[in-house]
Amino acid sequence: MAQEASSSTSSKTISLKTGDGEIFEIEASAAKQMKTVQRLIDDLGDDITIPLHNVFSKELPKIIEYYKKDITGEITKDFEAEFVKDLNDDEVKVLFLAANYLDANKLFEFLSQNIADRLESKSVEYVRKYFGVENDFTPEEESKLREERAWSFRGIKEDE
Amino acid sequence: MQTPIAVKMENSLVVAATKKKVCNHLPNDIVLFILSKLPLISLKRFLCVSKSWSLLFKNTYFMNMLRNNILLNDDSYYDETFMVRYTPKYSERCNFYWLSDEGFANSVHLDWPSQFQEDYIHIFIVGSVSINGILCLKHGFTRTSQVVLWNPTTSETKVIPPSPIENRRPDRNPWHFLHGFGYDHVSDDYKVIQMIEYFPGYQGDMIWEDRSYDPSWEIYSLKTNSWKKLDIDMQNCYYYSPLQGNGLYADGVFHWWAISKLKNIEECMVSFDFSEEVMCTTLMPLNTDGGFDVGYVERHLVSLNESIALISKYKKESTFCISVLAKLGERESWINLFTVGPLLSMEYSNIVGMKNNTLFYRRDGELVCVDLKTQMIKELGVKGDRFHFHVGKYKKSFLPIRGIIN
Repeated sequence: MAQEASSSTSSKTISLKTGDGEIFEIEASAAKQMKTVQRLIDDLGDDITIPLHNVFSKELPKIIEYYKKDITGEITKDFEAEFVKDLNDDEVKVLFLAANYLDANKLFEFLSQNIADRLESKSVEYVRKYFGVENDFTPEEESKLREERAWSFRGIKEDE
Repeated sequence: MQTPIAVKMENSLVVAATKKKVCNHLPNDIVLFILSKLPLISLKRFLCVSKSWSLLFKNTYFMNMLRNNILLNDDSYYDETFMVRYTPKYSERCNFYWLSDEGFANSVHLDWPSQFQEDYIHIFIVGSVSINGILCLKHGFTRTSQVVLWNPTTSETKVIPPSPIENRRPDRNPWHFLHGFGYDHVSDDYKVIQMIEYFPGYQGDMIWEDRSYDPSWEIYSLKTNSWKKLDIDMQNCYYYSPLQGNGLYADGVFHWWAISKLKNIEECMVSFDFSEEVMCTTLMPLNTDGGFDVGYVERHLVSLNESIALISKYKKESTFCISVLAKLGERESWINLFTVGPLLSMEYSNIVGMKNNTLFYRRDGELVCVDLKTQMIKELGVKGDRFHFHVGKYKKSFLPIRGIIN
């Protein structure tokens, strides 16, 4: 299939294919913000559909939406708040992982702060589950630590 | 249509791309990155997550990120810096300046309010920060003779009337007055707290046992224009140096650093909440002095990114350490954040204030500052005599100093 070579990248769109086989279009200038995508473009050319094996159709449109706003300079605190409002903690984590894979710095920074904000008042058990960390303390060790830091547990719901 | 070469390249790139850790769990360095954005109390709690997490504050990579985040959040709420310069000559008055970032040459001198226009040599600014544009000035350190609220933006002043004699301990001689100034957001009132310490000062252990020498506390409310006695149980075993006596006001609470006269009593921070009208103490951080010589340690309280921080300066090693407090009243919640030095210029110096990650200190009678982010040292160009300084933060306000309308 013959592709028109365009002289400017600003109006050019890149095709991205997710791990579950769906194709999404993104503007070349937005693609530049995702270093992994840009590297693939540099090596494969911008005529080819770029395969993103570790990003899926649930996350990619959201990421594209973010960078669409970014290239027009419209990212505000309100936009960012809206952007994550309906996502639960696990969905944010998956999105964050995708941003990490894509090397999309701005989104990565924003989501890392958002995750930190979400975890601020969470319990120790919740954080363990969230990060997949195993508790290697004995029950005695753990209760001693908790006692020493009882003041940091005030107001925290343990089963969250 | 893809050429065979392009397909080969694509495959190898795909392999390279998938070598990046992808699983449902985040890689360790990224977890640390997220954690470095958490508030200090949360971090202290999450030390219980696992054994490796309990060593978080010893992880250099993590601490670098945490320090960066704390310093990055500039408190640009206060847009001006004030400086009071004290001369060693007892015949000369101290002076108030708006300190310019460029140095002393561009700083603007401001006259004290009329109540302090006479030959006042020792005028202190209580709390080191303005509250709605108001500074609380006191004349004298022992036997304070006057306390005045002053808004240098509007030039408005309010003289705080002296407290009634009934509040004092009979048969004891007052010799030292400590003050705090703050705002009670619950009752929308400005308050001045006063502690009176009774003579003798620190003359041996026997006086300490005699509770009748314990300091008395009283509080003045601007709204009611009256003093009332406070019931605070504080033994007469602490003292406050002149600069430490200025204290630090932050978020409705006033803090002083108290050093004990007795060897078996540890140094602590004494904090008064203006809304609850209660006092609490926080013992000094454990292990902060490390291997340093505490013979000539100097302590100073500053605010750092919405937290209270203790700066300990060790003369012998020309080094200073900064510990930040996660939870008021909890000794365990101090976190040792920085160790700066040895700095060549720091040996004979005193810390005089902090603003926006810049630490101001006095070196050989001159004002010098160090930017904690870059560790660049800057001389501010106050030449000549061996001055002493106090530097603090100010935000302009045109609000009137409200009081009761008769």
